[in-house]
Amino acid sequence: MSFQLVHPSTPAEAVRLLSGSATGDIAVLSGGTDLLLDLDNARLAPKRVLSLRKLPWRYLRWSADSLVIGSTTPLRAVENDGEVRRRLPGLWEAIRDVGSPALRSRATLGGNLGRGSPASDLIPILLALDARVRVVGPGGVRELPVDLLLQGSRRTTLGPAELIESVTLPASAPSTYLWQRVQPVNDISQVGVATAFVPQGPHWRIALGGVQPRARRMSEAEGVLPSARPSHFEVELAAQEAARRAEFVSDKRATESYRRRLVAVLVRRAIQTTLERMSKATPSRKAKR
Amino acid sequence: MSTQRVLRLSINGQPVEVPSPPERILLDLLREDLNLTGTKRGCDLGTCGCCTVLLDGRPTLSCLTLAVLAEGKAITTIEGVASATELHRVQKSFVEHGATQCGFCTPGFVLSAVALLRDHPHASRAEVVDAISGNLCRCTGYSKIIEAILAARPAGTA
Amino acid sequence: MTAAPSPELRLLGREIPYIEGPLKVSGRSEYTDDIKRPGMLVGKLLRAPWAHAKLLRVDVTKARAFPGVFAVLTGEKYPTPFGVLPITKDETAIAVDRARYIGDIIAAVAAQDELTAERALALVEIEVELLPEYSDPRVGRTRVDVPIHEKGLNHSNIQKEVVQHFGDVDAAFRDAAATVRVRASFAGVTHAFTEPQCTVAEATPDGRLTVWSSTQVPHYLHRALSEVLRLPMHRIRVVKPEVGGGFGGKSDPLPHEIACAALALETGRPVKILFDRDEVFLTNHGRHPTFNEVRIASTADGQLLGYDIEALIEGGAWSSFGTVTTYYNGVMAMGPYALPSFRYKGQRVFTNRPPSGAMRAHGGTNIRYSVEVGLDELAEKLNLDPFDLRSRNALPPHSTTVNEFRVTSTSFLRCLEAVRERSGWAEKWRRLPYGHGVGLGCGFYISGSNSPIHFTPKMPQCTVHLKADMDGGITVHCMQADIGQGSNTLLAAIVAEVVGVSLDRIHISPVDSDVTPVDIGSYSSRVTFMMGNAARKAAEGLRDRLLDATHQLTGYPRDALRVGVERYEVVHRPDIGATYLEALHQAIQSTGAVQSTGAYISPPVGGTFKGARAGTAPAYSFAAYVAQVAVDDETGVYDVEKVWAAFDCGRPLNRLAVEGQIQGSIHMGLGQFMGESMDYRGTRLMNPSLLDYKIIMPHQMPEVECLLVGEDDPEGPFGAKEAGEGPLVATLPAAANALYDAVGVRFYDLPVTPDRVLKGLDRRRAESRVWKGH
Repeated sequence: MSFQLVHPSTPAEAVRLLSGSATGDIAVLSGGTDLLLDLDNARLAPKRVLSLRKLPWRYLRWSADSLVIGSTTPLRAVENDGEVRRRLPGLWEAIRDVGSPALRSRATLGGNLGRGSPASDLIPILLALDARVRVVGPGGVRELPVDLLLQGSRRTTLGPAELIESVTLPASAPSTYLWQRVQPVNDISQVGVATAFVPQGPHWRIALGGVQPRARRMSEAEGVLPSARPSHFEVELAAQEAARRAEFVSDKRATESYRRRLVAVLVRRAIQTTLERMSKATPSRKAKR
Repeated sequence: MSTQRVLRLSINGQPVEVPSPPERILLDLLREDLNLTGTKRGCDLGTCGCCTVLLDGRPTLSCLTLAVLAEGKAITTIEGVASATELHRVQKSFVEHGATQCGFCTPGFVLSAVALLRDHPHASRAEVVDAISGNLCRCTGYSKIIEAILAARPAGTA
Repeated sequence: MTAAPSPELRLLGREIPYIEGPLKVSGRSEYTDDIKRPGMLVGKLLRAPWAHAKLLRVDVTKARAFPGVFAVLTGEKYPTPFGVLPITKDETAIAVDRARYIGDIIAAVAAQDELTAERALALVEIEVELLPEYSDPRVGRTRVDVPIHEKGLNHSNIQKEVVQHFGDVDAAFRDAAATVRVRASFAGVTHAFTEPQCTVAEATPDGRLTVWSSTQVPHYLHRALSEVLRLPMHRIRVVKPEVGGGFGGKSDPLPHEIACAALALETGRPVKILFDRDEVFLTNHGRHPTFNEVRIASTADGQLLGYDIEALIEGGAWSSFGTVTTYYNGVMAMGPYALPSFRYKGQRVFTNRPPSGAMRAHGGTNIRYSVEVGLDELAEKLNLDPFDLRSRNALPPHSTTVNEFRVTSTSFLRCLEAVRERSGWAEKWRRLPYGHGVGLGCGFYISGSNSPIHFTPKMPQCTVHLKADMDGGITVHCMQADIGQGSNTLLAAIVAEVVGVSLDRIHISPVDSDVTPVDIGSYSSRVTFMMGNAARKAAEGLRDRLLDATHQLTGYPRDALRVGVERYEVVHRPDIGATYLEALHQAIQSTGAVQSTGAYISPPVGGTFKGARAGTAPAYSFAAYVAQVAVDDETGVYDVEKVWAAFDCGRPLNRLAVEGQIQGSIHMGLGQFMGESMDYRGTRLMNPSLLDYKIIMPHQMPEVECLLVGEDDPEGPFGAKEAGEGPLVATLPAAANALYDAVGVRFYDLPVTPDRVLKGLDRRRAESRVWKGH
């Protein structure tokens, strides 16, 4: 396989190049950790590869009430930002065990989001944190919640010439991400559970990964948690509701029944940890798995 | 047909010029075009870490990196770790502790360890385990590798 | 009379860093894929996408005509079957009439580059008749429509059946006060070494063929190449470069090695074949998926009366080592306990799946699991501490088992004592809080199979040649295959020790059939024992020549001299003597470069009944491990926190290497216990990648404390026995018995994944069985 590699230096140029190519003729290269595998096993055979590396999208910008992360920022940069760990612990927990350190120094937030894998560890926590994405395309710039970006398994609502420019999150939120995998790192999760207590009410967010057809918020379970301090009983109810409502399949990584069982346990633990973080007891304590 | 252009790379401190098509993977360029065979191919997936090199000091999977994207970066391979006359203290520690058995995974581990200790000379055991979590070893059970890296920290580190 | 050896060993017995360590840490060691030959072509293999198919037509015309292709071969050019065991040669380099599993090689191409080779293979036209597929070994034991191999027993897929009976097992069970029965199933696991198989072959105009290959058995490869390619052995040269791990996965001559050589002969150019990782999985030769049942009979006070064992092992598409494996799945239960009676029925059944073969602790792992879990259950039934049950049944040293295995040294009781004490067993067993537990598992394994495979026991299994010349160095020639286990280092250390010189004088010659005398290979844990003995003899021969030279120089007779360090001196007058170099140069004067040779042949042992030789060994290793675990009973995830590993390898000659083998074995054993599994959907392997085949990570590896408590073996070199495979077997039952102590659940189906742990907990609760208050 051979292709032409192009490096636009402005978003407008990138959009123009994408617009000018037929679908399937062009592939987008962000970190490359997924794309290179697709090229290697000939899942994709584009004529052109559009590298995003020259675009000004590698940044973490903190403001009083938000964090904006550029979409080509490597995961490792987000992981190593001490403020992320302190203020958005759920995000940090989701990132820190994705793949390996070498993989995380290449893989990007935008690439992971754009891939839309149901097993992604990042999408659940972004959903739980009410993250929004900024998208550029031929029609200009638009902003939308991550939830509306995702359509199904590995399908987003991005148009063929659209690119994710950045992701916006609250500047801080007590949050937790717990996962279950066969191997602790360098493996794909069987299930992922993200919980957060976000600034605007109703405050509780519970989102699951490893569910079908795509990661989603479990609004029915969220509704069981009425207040800042739910009782043990309410927490358990919420966990059971999330497990009951989630759609799973059995695949090579786990059976449907095991996933369902795990979710009930992990949602409970994730809510408990988020509660602890809300009371600022031990902010960086690792959640019990 | 793919177009070749001359890539200007910096490898182990030396400027190198290699004609290369855009789809060339860095691992292949190192092993085939430059005869730097110390970097190994193990899994085709980015899972085993045998292909690890340092790009601007950061551990990178060369099997998942387009060679052209390594232009303008300092590439360090295992061949560039020792000085002209002496092994790096990480390498010496691996030898002393029996941390290499078949040796196939060793270059990847050495580079991950060198990068870690350069940035975190007093890395804890947990940080060492994290740093090597992308490197697979089937011979040692990791025990002596971890010991060797911990022992390569400055003397007196707890 | 020869000079007495030093009473204190100078080098051996200590921590000896591997001599090629500095090269390996610098990336300077040459593995087969690092080899480049001028004009080298890329070889690629077409692998069958069908599990069982008659090849009606394999048309390579278009492939051959593709630009950049130099040769395309099919099976009929070299149809001679080969196999690692002479009695079951059923593999061909390239499939001749049938594809027998998804992955079987049906054509081979040599082309100018990889892309061209792949494109050419896509042009091969194949017509097949699909045959019935067999994926379940339980089903293939009765008559089948189309047996996978014609020689299957009674038109079935049974490759081998073993029936053995020693003593009177029925009487044992009649008289027994207590019996237990364990039925277990084991998923197949595979070696997963980091270096994929690779072979380079080159035929030169002088009629010679050179093959470099990542192999554990250069000599067996040499024989197979000669047989299949119809070339006399002396025209073939086999070179073993550095090998990136084997564990039994490279201990057969493999089809691709011969196909690569065939391509080289066909093209007149060097050819390299390098496996993709999925090809490594498809080639397999890993541990046989197993179903076994063990019944144990005992007196009321825990004296074992006998075992009744049945085992069914899945062979996959080829025989490989399978005949031996079929025996081992029974007879490896012969130790470490004395048994008055023993019955075993074993069957190996072909399936249309990647072939099973030899994998570390070959044939001894799965049966060990079932026996040790069974003994744990028996101890519970009899209200005995598991340690007491073991110690009262330990095989005595210098004894013979009921199936005529000769046991010489055993420090099994010391292993038990040491591990019981160091692990804090008495304070922990049945006393830790719910979710925490300790368990005991024991081990027994051969230190080298007594009979070499290809020739009579009258020929040496290892020969070592030494050369010492004017540069003062000693070159050691031996075909022993260092695959990472440290045999080069041991070889050098033994020679240095005996000759009395510094280790850096020893140079281990690269393994090359033109130069190095035969050693039959790195399998069955034979190298330390057999190579060690041969090396010792050779070194003693060299030492004696140097002592003779010292006698010539000093006038003192040989029996008045002793070996110092780089010096030979008179025992009562150490100021009188000669340096090593002086003695060497003196010796060289009469003959030129000094040479010596040593060889090892294992003593005849064992019975004379059919199959008696399987499992005979010049010595056995023993083990007692305690594992400590912590279980999260909500998720089923468990952590093996620590393993105390008491191991009897006789005298450990290189502590660094022995510890490394124990740690690596525990890693591999826990991998099989916790999550490694070759997953199939029917005949299709679903996880041929290192992402989906779950090797445990450093976070999951327990702390390992090695307790090396062996005593000198009377026949091992300097008292040493093996430590390459034996350290694996005790791992799995120790973990299983620890889980029982933690949460009161027994596991009979491996791997024991968190999902299975939860199901086990559900079962216990459904039985209303309370454990430690839960």
